[in-house]
Amino acid sequence: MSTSPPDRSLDLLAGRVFDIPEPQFVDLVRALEARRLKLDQRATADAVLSRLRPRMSMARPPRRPTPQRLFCLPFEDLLYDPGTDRKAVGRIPRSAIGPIWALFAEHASPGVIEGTSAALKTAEPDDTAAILAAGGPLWTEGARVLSARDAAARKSADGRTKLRDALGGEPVLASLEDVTILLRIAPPILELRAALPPAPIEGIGRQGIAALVQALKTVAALDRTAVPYVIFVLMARLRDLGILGDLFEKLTEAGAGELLRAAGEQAGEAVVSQSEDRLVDVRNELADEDLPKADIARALGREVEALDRSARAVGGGRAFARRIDRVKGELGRVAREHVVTGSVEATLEAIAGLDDPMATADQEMQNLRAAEDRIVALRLCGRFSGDPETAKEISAAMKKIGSGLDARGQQLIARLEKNDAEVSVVDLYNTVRLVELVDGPDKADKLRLAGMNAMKG
Amino acid sequence: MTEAANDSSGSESGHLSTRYWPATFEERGVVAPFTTPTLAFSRVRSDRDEALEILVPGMSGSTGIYVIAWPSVREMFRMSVHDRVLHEAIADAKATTPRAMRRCANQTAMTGLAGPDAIECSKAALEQEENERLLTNFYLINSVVDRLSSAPAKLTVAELSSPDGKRKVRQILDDIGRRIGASSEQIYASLEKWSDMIAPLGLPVMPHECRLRRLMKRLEAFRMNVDEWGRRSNADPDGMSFLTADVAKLTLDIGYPVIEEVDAYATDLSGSLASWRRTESAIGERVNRLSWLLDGWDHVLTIWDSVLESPIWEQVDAMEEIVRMLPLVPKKELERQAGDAWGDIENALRKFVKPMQSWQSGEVDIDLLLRVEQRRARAL
Repeated sequence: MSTSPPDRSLDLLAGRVFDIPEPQFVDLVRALEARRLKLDQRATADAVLSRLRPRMSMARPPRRPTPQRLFCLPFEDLLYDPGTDRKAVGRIPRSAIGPIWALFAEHASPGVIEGTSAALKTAEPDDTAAILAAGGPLWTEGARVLSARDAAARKSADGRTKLRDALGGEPVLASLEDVTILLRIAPPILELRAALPPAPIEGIGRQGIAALVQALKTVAALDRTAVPYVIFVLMARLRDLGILGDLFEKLTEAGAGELLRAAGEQAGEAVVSQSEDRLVDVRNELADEDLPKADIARALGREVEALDRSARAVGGGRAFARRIDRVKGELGRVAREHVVTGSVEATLEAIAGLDDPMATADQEMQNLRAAEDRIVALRLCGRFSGDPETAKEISAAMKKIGSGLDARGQQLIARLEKNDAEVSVVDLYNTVRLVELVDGPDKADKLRLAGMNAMKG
Repeated sequence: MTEAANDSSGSESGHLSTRYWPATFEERGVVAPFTTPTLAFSRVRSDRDEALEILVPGMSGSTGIYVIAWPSVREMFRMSVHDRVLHEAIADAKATTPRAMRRCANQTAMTGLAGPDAIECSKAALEQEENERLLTNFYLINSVVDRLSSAPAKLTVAELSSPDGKRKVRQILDDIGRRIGASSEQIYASLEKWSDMIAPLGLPVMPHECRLRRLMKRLEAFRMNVDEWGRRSNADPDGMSFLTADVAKLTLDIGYPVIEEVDAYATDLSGSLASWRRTESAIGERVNRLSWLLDGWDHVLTIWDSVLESPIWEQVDAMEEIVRMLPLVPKKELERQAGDAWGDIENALRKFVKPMQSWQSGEVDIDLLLRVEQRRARAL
């Protein structure tokens, strides 16, 4: 409908990041990266970082890759720093690179790494085509060598234990298979990586969907068991797994439904496994923060929603559903620890504070906010808590707070009827507000009307 | 197109209108800042018998606007306590203009029934309104003193409020009065009235921008932002954001000339004061028109601001909600504009507006209620 020329104002605005002096720019990026680690600041940091990205790529001129960096390129998206000593499905701990590269280097055909090194020396650092060409033989050889070591180790239980110990533990051994498969399907994965927007992805356009469908089909033709890895690469780039559902719908419409279904089980494993890891992050983030209880409840609710959305996207059977429920139950327990426990006492104390005759208006407002925060947090937790114990505790807490408010309401009416100079309409409205949050508007309005009548005498 | 008010084929308590495009501001109604999610930012207007009625868009599985008689609202919806009080206040004041609605909204917000944020935002809004009125008055008088007196001078706030300063102003106004054939009292009263009328807009010479001028700027930024979002997000295949940006642009295109006209009276101070009666009614009519034109946009902007950093699906939900409550420019206003290219807007909107479900269900979504409360507080 719009016929006016496209507005470029925001682009111009983004261009101003180039005016920031280099040292301050580096500090700014570092500070934003640090903020990304905090639950409540991640979105802001991501939004600002996305605007800074053009400058960031200039601030870090392309480095000449080493053979080891080039080796990692096909599985670069999956690399992460886990908060646990286990490995999430669909991700590769960064600490696995060293041992796997060492294993490859030890068994690679003579000359392959040297040849890659020589090719990289002659290629310009920003000549993507030359660099990718240099990687071809390395990835093929990598897939061959690692696959052979893995197969050899599988021949006996002892062999597998030995390989695990040589690599440094179970997470690295589990990563070995991922690395092998991704090296085997390196060309379509690299094409896909080039076609997808950089992380964190919030949505994918038609071209991205077409690239995904192409990657799924090409990988299926090469090795059908490797199809889930296309989804893992996609998942690793998403800002939030919650958008997986929308993307799967679009991919199905674009003709990749059957391949998605075939990869569903492993994608589901990845969703659960990464969500379990996310739980650890959430616990760490909450331990460092002193947030309002309602904000914590909202953040946990969002985690549950994202989990539900991604779980719906990948489908899965009863066992999968049970694992999802277990993660949700665990989130419920986090809610119990951080929000529910102690909430009755804290709420009733804040409500009692409303009657303090020495309190200033600011202190009264603070008490009202504290009581509201606790009640709202409880109600929000009640909506998503998958843990029966937590649900029971929330229900009991709400009942106790409700009883406290009932008593306060009755006293208030009696005092208003007696024309007590120490109570006012403000006390009435504060109580009505809290009753509404606990028991809903009908009961609260009855109290309001009773209070108004009492004041009229 | 038949107006919603004429499309009364339903029951006594309400009827469904499939019309989106109002003919006049009065027919469009004024946004009532209810906090009950289903009623959030519904519009209130007078019917043909001067009784109040409420317009709720996209409700009950429909894609039209539900028109409900005022007394029936409380029976049909499980309203928050805040909304029950606001409902009474609107009925008592017969608030069918943006100015009257603003008064009711602030009065109800101060009860605290929509939470502590609403009290604080309302206090801040009232304080700012008063400051803007005083500032506008100061700058208007100073402009007169500076430009119309025989010896141009600039007064400070302290001078203006001191007895000496007041005397000086009175002398200058006497001098001006003699030249334009009016008493200094008349001029002073005119300037008071003038600054009261334009206080929501302020004067262009003021270093501080007043509410409506700020709102226009925010609307301009919003227009660019949603347009950008539509192009970059890949989440708006139907082009809801472009439609929204177009409606915002049309509002701005109509609003800026109105502001210029109001500002022009302050440029020609002598002429404006000499024919004060005409000036008064012209300024009043324009500021009123601007208030109507922008009515509802502050709520749209707060909805969008609140999801700027949210996940994409929340932004898409917000955009759907915005489209549902988009303050369309009435047809009568468009007739004043040359080159009307908006013939298909109603059909476009009908396609986009998603019905609200479960509007009569008992359970109140606490998070949704609190989100609406927060937006409402910020829009005060």
